Amino acid sequence: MDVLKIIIILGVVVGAGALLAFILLKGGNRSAKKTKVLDNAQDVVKKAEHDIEHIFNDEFREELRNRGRLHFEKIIGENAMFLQQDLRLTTSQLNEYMKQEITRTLQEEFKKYEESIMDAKQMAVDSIEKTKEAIEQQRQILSAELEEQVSIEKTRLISRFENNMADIINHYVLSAIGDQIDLSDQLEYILSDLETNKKAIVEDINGGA
Amino acid sequence: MVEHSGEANAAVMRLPPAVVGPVDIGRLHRELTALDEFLSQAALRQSEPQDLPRTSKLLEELSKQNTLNLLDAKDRQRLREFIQPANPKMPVLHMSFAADPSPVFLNKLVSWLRTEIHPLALLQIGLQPSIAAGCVLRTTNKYFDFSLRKNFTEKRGELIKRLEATKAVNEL
Repeated sequence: MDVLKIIIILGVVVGAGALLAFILLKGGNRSAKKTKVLDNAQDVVKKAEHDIEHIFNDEFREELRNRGRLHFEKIIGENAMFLQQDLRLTTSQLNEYMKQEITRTLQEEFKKYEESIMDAKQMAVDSIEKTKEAIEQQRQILSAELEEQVSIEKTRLISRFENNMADIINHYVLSAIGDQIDLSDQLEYILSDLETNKKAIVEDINGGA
Repeated sequence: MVEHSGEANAAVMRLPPAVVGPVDIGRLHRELTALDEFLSQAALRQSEPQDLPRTSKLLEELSKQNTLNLLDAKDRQRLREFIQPANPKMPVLHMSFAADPSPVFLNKLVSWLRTEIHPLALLQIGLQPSIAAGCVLRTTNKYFDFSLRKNFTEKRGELIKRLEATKAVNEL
């Protein structure tokens, strides 16, 4: 047991040492690189002081151009995006506005149209009512006149019938019994009439033409 | 041929009831004229006729009623003078009936007329179906309406009165 603990402790110590060594080695490389970069920058400045043309050569210019192009494209893209957003927003607002305006206009027009229809309907109803009243009045007048005419005609017919009733009955009786009475049965009746008017007959015969 | 006593009849000539009107008188006159001509021709030939013409019943009745001998020329002459058509001594009465009267009816009627009105009265018969019953008599100057139609017309007021009374009862 103790041995095992000692081994573990030793292992930990060795590991810690290795880690420390690695860290130290790493920090050394960085400072070396940093130093190297500083040296290169100083070298470039020196070179630039001596030969500007050597710095802004074609490659550098092409690099700048590319950077500018990229930056411009980036700005253009951003602006296009903003512009697209604005445009979409504006379009949306415009659509909304147009929708509202059209709706409002249509509502106003519909309202006017509805008012016109209501007015026309009211006028038609008034006209129909007036016509109906006129027809009703005319009907009442005609009805009264017709009743009067019918009454007059009825009275006239009844009066005429009553006036001619005796003739009608006479005609009917004569037609009904005319063929039924035998002349032989009438002899006494005829002779009695002749007897009644005998004097007048004799006087007329004796008087001559 | 009927032969009657040939004595002259001074009495008034009469007409039998069978002789009704001027038509019968005309027929009798024609028949008597024909008989007279026949017998006159026989007398001219101075021969007794074998077959005498047949006389009508009307002529026989007429000669019988007036006791005349048709073989006697004087009697025939008297008869011809008596039954002259349109003889002013024979008044003509026009009577119209609703139907054609029977001979019996005419016989009775003519008998009454010749008894009560005039012994030589003649009757001319007419037809008027519209009178229904009764008769219409027309003399020389007068018109007598004894028809049922006239009777109804005269009693028209009473008929209307009765009808109105019936109507009033029905309305109640």
